[in-house]
Amino acid sequence: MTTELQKDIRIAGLSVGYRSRQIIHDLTMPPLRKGTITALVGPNGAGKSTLLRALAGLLPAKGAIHYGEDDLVKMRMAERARLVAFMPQALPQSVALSVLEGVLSALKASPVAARIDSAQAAREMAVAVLNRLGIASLALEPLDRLSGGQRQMASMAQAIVREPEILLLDEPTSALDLRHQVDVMGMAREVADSGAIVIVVLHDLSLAARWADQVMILDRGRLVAAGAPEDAITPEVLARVYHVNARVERCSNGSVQVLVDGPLTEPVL
Amino acid sequence: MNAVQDEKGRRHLSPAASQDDAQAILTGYRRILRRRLAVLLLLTAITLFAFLLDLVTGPSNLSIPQAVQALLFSQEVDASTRVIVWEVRLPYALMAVLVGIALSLAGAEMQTILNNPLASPFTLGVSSAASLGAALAIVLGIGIPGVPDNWIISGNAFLFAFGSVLMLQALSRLRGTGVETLVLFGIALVFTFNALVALIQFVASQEALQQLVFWSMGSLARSNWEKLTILGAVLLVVAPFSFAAAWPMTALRLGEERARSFGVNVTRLRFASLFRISILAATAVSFVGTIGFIGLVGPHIARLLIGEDHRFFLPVSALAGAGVMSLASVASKTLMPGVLVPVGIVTALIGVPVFLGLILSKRERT
Repeated sequence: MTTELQKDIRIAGLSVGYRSRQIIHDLTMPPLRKGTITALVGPNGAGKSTLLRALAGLLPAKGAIHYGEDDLVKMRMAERARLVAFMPQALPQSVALSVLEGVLSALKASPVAARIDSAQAAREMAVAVLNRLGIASLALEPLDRLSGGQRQMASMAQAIVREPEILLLDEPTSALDLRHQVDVMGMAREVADSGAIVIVVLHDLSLAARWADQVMILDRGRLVAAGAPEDAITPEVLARVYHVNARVERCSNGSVQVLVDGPLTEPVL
Repeated sequence: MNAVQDEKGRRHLSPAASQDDAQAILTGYRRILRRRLAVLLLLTAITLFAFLLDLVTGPSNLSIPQAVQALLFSQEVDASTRVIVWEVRLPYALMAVLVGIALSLAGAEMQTILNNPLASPFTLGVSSAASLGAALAIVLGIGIPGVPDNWIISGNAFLFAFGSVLMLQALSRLRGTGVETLVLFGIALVFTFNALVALIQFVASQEALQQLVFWSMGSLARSNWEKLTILGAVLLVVAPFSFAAAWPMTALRLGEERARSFGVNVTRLRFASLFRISILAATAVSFVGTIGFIGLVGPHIARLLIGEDHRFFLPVSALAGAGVMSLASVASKTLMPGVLVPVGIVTALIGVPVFLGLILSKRERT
């Protein structure tokens, strides 16, 4: 079906904010396509997480987030949760639940529960996801006793078990060592390959360049640059947005590496 | 589902191995569920035993078989045993169980929706509000118009307790604040109500003061069949709604944003839950007075025993609360021979060390 192929996210005139403070102003973005990973980067307070929350429906927004023929902004949360999964940055604390129970509750508390035939089917789905993430051996372990990396994977499992069409990840690698970073981003890639739209907030520009198909650089609630990593990430943009002197180099495998030399001494306009 | 894509160097089990693996996990999980069911049944048995013990404890000696016989075949026992069991002991013992269930279930829900293990109807002002309502009735004779005289204290206590939770709700809605603030509001309410009760006590006559102090100690001696019927009916109506919300509440334990992203309407869940809590706690407290720590200890015992899968957490909390309450009732009759110590004092005395123990054991684990 042609509509199915064209099902991408188009953000137009989006404004998001809290009670007294608007964070994102009239944002319009190039389309986010199926099967791709989009990295949202930018300095602290740029509105990356706010944008992600607005996409997840956790913050009220003005404007439009078109997805195919639907407008996510106008969609009810219960319907939206069928399409969108969000992995928040904060991990659960002092919870007396096992990894499997976390994934099961993600399934059973959600509107998709109605489509699952039996308790057994739900359990099998949950175990399959843990298998896919390589953490099946932790299924019956309490969430509280996991390491940071394992917890992040358990959190990922809760997000992807509903097989979302749109996956939103808020700094999924922030607390992780190198191997776990690769594991999490590899899983994001797999989810994208299966046809989903993946949007991920990252701080590490080199990581963004390595894994994302396109990078969107935000600053103070506005889009500063967008495109393929090598096009979007330039020394000029980094100077303007982060106020640093940086070099953008290519490493041996061709992916973009960002090397920061120091703070910017002269203001750039 | 068990893809073996390995080009990224990620460790994946072979499909056959992962099938076995999956089966092992599912079997393990079923074993855990069976164990939880066993805990549930065991707690039911313990509660039943505590209830029978409560029934036979008192000035005139009864044995458990005698009590059971009087309960099941009341025609076969002599009149005095029948009267003792049915008219004196049973209302007490049943009230202990029902109050334990109501307060503990309310506490369990409260701890989950406020994401605070210290939340309970007692710590967030429901009991203080009930005391204020009772104080108005006892000391100043102010009651709800149209309520018969013998219900005026309970009526007031209910109204105030119910109102205090709605007030918490309204305050949090007004400012759109988070649950941390809600807890702080609750604590502020405790102090406010306590101060107002103290003010009323100050102006009270000696007789009214005595009555009020005794009321706020919490006692099962106020039990009667009418109150039991009402509390039982409230539980029968409210508890199914609690249990029906088990999965969304379990999801809420993973964090509010996460639960919302699953599609859980957290605002509505919290509102409905606070409504249930207010009815449960207000009814219980208005009938028996201030009974502390049950709403706190019941859920903690449940959490230690079976975790926070709310399909089990809620009923196990309720049963643990009932069991502890029955044992407290037994203790209230045996602590001082010949004297019935108000059960509220006993629950506080038992509750504090149990509670400290729980906190300390938790410290060690983390």
